[in-house]
Amino acid sequence: MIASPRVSAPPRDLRAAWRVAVWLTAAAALVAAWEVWARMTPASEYILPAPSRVLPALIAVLGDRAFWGHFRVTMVEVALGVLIAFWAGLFVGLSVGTRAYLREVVDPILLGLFSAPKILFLPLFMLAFGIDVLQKTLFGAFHGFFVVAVNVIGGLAQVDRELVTASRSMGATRGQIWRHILVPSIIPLLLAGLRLAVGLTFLGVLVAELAVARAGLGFVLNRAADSGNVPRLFALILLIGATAVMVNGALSAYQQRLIRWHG
Amino acid sequence: MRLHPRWGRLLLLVATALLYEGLARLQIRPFFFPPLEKIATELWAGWQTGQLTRHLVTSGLEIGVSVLLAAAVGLPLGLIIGSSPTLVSLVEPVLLAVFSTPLIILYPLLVVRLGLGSTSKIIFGALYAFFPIILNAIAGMRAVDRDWLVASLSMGARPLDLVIKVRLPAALPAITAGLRLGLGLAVIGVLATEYLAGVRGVGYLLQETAARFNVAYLYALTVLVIALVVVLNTGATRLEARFSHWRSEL
Repeated sequence: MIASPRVSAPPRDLRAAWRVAVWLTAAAALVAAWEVWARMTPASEYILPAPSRVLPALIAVLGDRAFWGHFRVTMVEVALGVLIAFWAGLFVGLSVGTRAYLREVVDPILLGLFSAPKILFLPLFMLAFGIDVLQKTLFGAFHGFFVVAVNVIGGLAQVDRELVTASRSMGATRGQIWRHILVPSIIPLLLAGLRLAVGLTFLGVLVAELAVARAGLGFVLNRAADSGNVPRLFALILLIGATAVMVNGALSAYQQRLIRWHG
Repeated sequence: MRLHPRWGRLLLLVATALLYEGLARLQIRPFFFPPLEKIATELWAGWQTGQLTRHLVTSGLEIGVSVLLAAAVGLPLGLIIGSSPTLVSLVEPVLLAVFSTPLIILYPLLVVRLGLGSTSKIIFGALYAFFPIILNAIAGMRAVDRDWLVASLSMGARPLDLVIKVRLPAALPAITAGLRLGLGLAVIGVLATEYLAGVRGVGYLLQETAARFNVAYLYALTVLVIALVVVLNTGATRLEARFSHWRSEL
């Protein structure tokens, strides 16, 4: 089924290399144009600082021990938030998804809350859990939870019911039905849900930190903005954005591999 | 006999309200559980002074303008990119990568640049709405069945006919779905930025209410806005179904 990698690899690599070349050229042209524009514009420092101003700021941030302390705070909050979102989402998804009537009643509610603006609940999280790690973690988990639950329910809804009935009539136990039919059919959507949950939890943690915080990346962003240090603000945005892209890319690749292995 | 799921949901809502009222009556944590009557009174008061309407209208306008802006930029770009496989392979991965980042980190920069007023909210809402709109427009253009194009050409269609009579109608369901998703994200983006650094709008009202520790009004606002968002989403979904109903006739 899988074509020999030796045969198919060269053309694919060539095309990917060509694409990367175009990206790099475009990025270089963009940076050059940005530099020229910034040098010609007075007060560009406060609008869109030149790359030659952002680069030193970026290097300063990377060498700043305090920054890495805040980075770690946010990453711990995101990791804990994802754990909570995953297990809570799996639990609710399985509880709801295995009962047909409950699914019909509850699924639209979960979908509605999934797309509702979560910021509405931020004051409640602050009143109930304060403004430190616990509140950031739980607000992040609140962002990630729904996509996991909804995807588990979706995965269970896709299960071929006749397959379950047939297996049962041939004497399969509950455990066997779960192991061989239900779990395999949930896994692809569960992984997709987990990847989205990581991004959404990161978003939730950052929003909570941008609102009120004493530590974390949102706090660092706010401080750079308040002090009018736009080159540093720019460097921080690039760094946080790059972190998100790398985490998402890694999870995406992992998800593809697992699904391919899964068949 | 089982209730229709819709009545089941209503029952769930009533049960939650009753449970809440019970907690309020027991006075365990009166700060967190003001009685329902007080929540309703606060909402009525906010409505009567016109304050609530003013903030709702502000947010509504900001959301509307941001979606229009995102569509004005995203739709043409998406349609152009989507019609060329080379452009798709170059641009789509970049759009997906940027969309996977928490865009809210751009917000402090927008405030520094554009201030606390409506402009920064509209630009941020448009930025949020832009991605599903352009990505769906690209996907829609790619969804065109090659056989339809070949068949139209062989029946004498001119290039413009191909765009107007084949490509656009084929892309329409994806485009409308993108607009609906974009609307949802614009709501999220506008409310979040009003909350974080605003001087008017529902997000600001919510933040200001919380800062005054007026928990009853806070609950009233939360429930009201969620209800409005649900109505908006349902309306958009209905509208979308009308635009793509021809598909089922195929």
